[in-house]
Amino acid sequence: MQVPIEELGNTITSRMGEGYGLMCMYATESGDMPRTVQTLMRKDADILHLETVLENDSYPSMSFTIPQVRPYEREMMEMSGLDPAGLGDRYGPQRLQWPYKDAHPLQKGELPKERYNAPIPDNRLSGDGVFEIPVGPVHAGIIEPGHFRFSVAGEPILKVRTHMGYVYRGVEKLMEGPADIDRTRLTERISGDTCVANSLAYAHAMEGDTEVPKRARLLRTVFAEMERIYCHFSDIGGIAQDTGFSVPATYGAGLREKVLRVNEVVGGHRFLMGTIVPGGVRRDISDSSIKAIRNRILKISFDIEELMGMLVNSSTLMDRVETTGTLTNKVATTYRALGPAARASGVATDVRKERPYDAYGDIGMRLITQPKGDVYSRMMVKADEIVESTSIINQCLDMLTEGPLRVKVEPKDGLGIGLVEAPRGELLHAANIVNGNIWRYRVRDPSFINWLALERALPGNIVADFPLVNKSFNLSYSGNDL
Amino acid sequence: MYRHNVKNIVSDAKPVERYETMESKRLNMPSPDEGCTRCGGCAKVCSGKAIDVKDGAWSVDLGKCVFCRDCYDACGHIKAVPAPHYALTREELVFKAGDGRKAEDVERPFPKELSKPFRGSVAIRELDTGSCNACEGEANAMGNKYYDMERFGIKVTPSPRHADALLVTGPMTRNMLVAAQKTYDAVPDRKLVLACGTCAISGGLFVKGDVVGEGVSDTLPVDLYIVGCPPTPNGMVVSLVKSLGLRH
Repeated sequence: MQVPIEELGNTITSRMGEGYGLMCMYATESGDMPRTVQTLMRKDADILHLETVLENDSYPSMSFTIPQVRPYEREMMEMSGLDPAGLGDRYGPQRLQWPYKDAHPLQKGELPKERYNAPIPDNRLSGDGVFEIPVGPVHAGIIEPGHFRFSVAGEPILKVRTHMGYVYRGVEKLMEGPADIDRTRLTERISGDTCVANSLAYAHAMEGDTEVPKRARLLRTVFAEMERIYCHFSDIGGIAQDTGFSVPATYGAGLREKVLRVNEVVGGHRFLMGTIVPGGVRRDISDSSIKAIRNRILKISFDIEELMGMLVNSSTLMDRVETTGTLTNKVATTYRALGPAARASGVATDVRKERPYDAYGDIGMRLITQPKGDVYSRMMVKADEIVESTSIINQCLDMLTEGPLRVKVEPKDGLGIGLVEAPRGELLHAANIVNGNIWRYRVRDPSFINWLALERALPGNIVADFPLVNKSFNLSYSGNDL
Repeated sequence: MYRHNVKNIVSDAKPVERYETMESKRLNMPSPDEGCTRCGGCAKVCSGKAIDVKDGAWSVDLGKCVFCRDCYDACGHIKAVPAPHYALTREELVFKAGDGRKAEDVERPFPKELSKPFRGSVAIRELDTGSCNACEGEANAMGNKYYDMERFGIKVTPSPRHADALLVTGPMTRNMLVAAQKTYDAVPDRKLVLACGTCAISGGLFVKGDVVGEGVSDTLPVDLYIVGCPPTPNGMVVSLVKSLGLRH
């Protein structure tokens, strides 16, 4: 649907009133297609695509009337060189700490060599006894780089700003080019621990309406759920680790390792890289692999009970996790938080349920929510989702029949959308294909939104609880930065 | 309840892997058999441009290989052979067909004068310079009860000032360059830099992206190249134990 730029803000607002959520906004370069702003909104299975042709790069900013638009406007300003008048550089660089003079990274053709440093701004908060603590980008644990500024008065956090971009490698630019080249290797490396979800979203974006064989759809679902299980195990173990409760932490890490070993048997790779291709799956799984999966997931249902028993029965751990890092339902809705973080705040959102892809339409699954939105709720949502995932895998394996694994895919011109539920939430890949070339490829990781939700969940908590809250959200730095 | 659970874990069969098992579990690398006509079909499907076929000579660069197994699918004459866990120089990671080099030949220990300060134990600091977090996941797994790196004296420190070695993952993004150099400077002297994974060794698939140079070695002096995309936890542990001569 074509919408002029003056009407865009009103259209988004009125559609939001109808129940649509803003999935993504991004700009395309002029050339083979006109310079446009693409807006994608979703209400359950219905995806609304708004296209706005731009005459010039400047337009009045919408961020102050629609808060959900802010991260996207910043992204368009930085990566595509648009100028949302009024937004300015008050938030500092989002990804590009070394911008180009009179050029932007997604422009076609050569980029200039000359770059300058865009400094990270201080928090706009001052007063008696208010101090600012800079943290990062190199952290104490084995995690990815990111910079945080905490404004504190004593122990409690008054305000926190996340400054990302240290992992910016230019994935979206690397994705451009002829559409028939298989780029699954690159998409798998957008975020290593959600590689199945990312390659699945890429596959969906390229497939369009192509019918994928049944066996391939079932296997894809199995792989996606295996990924969810080990991600959630790692999170629950990490929460225990960050509270200093090392027995369940070790146990959680051990359970994760067991799933990874099954992955290695099943897909030949511990993170299941190289299992999914556009049009199906790469290779079949043997009967012995099916048996290995069944054995493991049977034990997982007992293991998770044991792990959660250890955690929930410990009063010291419960004291740390309850009422910590609360993301209220209102904030989660306003900023459209995604995935387990939103479900823990009582927002029932799950792409698997709302817009079923692959085999999710044929199976029964329960949508898990928790009302409170604290670390405990997120932990419990993840624990319950592990159990739910084992049920999904069992159903898929039951339905598994012999058949072809792969069909040939020819990407069609137009907008290709890949929408999947990654372990962290709704993951969107959008590809504008013109004349058989990917003209613009946009990846919107759930972390891109949930980092803002984390900023809202932290104030009022003490600085020492930050690692715990951060771990309970478990956001991807590399998926956010690309 | 708690006591019962702890007892259960302790009485679990010992999951810790023996060093010999860890060493024998290797990643696979491609190698052509006698029937190979050097047609270049494998080089064409290679995402990392690791396979090079020129004038009848066939070679694979493990520093660029992402271990995706596309070449095995493309041609029946490529077979899987064990890959080394690590190498001390970049050149040793290039395997030519027919030169008879085996994985074990590459895995040499450091010269004595270099490894002497770290004999017995080594403290590592992980430095992410733009990796996709798969390497972080595997580095975290080094400490779990299966690989248990601390029994060999390998320890992860929170601060670079307490570290002996930097475990660098990722292709060195432009944004991370300053922080990486500061972290390197903060490590006390007689330090090691371990380039962990394909991105860190050669830039990997991101070499044309917003990164500085081809791999970490263009900005930091790398001592050890750990092979894999991502390297397995046992590969990382074995690399450290074998190159430094830690007790096992």
